[in-house]
Amino acid sequence: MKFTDSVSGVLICALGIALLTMSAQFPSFAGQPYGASLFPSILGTALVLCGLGLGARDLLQRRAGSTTAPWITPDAAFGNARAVAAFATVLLFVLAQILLGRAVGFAPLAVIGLFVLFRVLHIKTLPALALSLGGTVMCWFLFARLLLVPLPRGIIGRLIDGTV
Amino acid sequence: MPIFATLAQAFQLVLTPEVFFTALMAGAFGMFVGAMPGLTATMATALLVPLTFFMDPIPALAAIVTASGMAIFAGDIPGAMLRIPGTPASAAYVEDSHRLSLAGKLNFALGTQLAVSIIGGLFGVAVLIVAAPLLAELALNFTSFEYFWLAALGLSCAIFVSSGDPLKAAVSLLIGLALATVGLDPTTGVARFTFGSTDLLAGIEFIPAMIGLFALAEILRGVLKLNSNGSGDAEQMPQATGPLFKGVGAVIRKYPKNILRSSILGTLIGALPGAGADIAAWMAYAVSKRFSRNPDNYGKGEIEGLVDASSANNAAVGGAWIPALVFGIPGDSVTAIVVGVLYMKGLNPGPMVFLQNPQLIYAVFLIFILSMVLLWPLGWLAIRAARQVLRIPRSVLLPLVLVFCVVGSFAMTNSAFGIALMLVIGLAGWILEDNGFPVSPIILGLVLGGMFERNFMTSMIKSGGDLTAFFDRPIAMGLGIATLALWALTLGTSLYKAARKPAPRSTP
Repeated sequence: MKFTDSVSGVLICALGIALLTMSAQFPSFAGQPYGASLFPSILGTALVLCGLGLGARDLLQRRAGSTTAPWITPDAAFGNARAVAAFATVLLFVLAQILLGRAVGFAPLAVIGLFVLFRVLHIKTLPALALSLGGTVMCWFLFARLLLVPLPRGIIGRLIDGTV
Repeated sequence: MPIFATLAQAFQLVLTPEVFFTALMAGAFGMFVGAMPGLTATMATALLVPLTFFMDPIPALAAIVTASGMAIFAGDIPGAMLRIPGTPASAAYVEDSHRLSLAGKLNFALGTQLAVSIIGGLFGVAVLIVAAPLLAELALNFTSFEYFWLAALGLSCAIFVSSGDPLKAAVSLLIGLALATVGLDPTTGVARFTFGSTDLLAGIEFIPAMIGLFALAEILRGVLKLNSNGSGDAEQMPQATGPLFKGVGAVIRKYPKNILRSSILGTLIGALPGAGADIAAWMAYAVSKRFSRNPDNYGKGEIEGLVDASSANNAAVGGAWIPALVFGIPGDSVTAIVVGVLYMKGLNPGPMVFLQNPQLIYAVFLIFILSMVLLWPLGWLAIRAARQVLRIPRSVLLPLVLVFCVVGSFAMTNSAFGIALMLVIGLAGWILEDNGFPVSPIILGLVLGGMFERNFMTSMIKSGGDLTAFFDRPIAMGLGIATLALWALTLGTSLYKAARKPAPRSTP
């Protein structure tokens, strides 16, 4: 997704204004002239100035005829259904780990997610299955066993513990 | 001579099979962690601490020194191969090393980085040995005004080193600084931009953010490209040909001044509290670009920038130990952990250690030299092993990297919050980079933002809002003038270029 600098400028101005508005609501303390809002306010102001600068520059270039790009250009790859599927699978994979990780567990979600992603990326079924299992086991071993990261064990953990 | 007796004692402490074995294992571990995208030298050190609890002081320190040094170098490997810096210290020149790899010069890029890393690292150790007390004393005299200008100088570099548009780099930096304000305000304790989330009270962890910006965004771009372009694999994968160190000697002979300049800069920056290998790399890269004959090639595969930044970040590792050992003030996050380990071992860091246990200090120096000697074979092995990555198709590699990103982000917070942070920041980074906004300044802003704001607020409160106080002290004035001169120079150059630009296209 490509925006022209005018659109980017407007978005950056909006971000700066949001920062300024929220900063204005931070409490101030008596006798302390410089509080929690000072630094974010400076950043907000600088963002607004940069946004205006970007927009002004783009509009000047447009007026001079050196830029004729449309305001918003969607990524050409989004015209390809398989590319969209791969993109969506990556996002769903991460979202599933966030939302279902605790309930289902890291490992089952990783195996399923990897398998789907490999298939979408044209890897044949058997290698995809082997890679999904191998990748998950390697990751589990490195992080959960060697580095002692408490990856969510989910349903398999509960089965092993006999609490299901 | 007591110095010889002390040295002999130090050699006795270091030259044992236990120390060698520990250093070797920790070095291999550091190489692995540093080479994994998103896992940092700090993480390698932090993960070693529980193990060092069971060791004697010297093997414990050997483990930390070797692991952190190796991780800083190993961060260059995925940077060159996949354009994903393994550690933040490799972010400054990732574009150059990756472009060199794509041009079929992967071995040349990594061989050069390994060689100058060792030279820079040894330089840092030499300074640590010779000038530790002097430099630490200088850093100790700094007040919030000097720290403010130092951070300002480092952040300014983030804008001016980016090869693209300085205005867009400034926006990226401001976004990074804004992200750093999330959480509890350092001066008043007010919760800012947390939206009621308790996870955000502690602020935004920079490691999930870095994984998101550098890895997830790259994966999203990669999967889109793979499916829309069938030959994506072939054009993305750099070719590795020829011996590893071919041409490296010539580069070292061509740029001895750059290596020396950046090693000095790296050591000095490393010695300053709060400024570590990442800032050293950024500043050395910026200085290199300013003085180079080919500044336009920076960001497009220029070996000169690589030589400068790579020697500086390893020199900073030694430099960071100077204030840590002499005054117990950590120079960066790794030495902050080290200071903790020293206390744990009953070796309270400070000037008294130099008087009471000089053999331990000399032993630390020897360990540093040992770690640099080990860097050569371990680095060579790591590059050779990592090169297998190139044989794996991108359609196999990208999903596997995705799992590591998810687990690496989880590991930093031990909760799904780290993964969520990675996802949101990664998506934002993907959109920003597609629109010409560089992502590296976001990370620098996020890492330095807290220190920058803290020193700015302290200075403002101390001076009662009088901005001239920022130039009252001589070192602060020097740093302030350097920062402002950098801005003036860049703005002046941009305006000059804009004014000289012919305007034939402006006629309709």
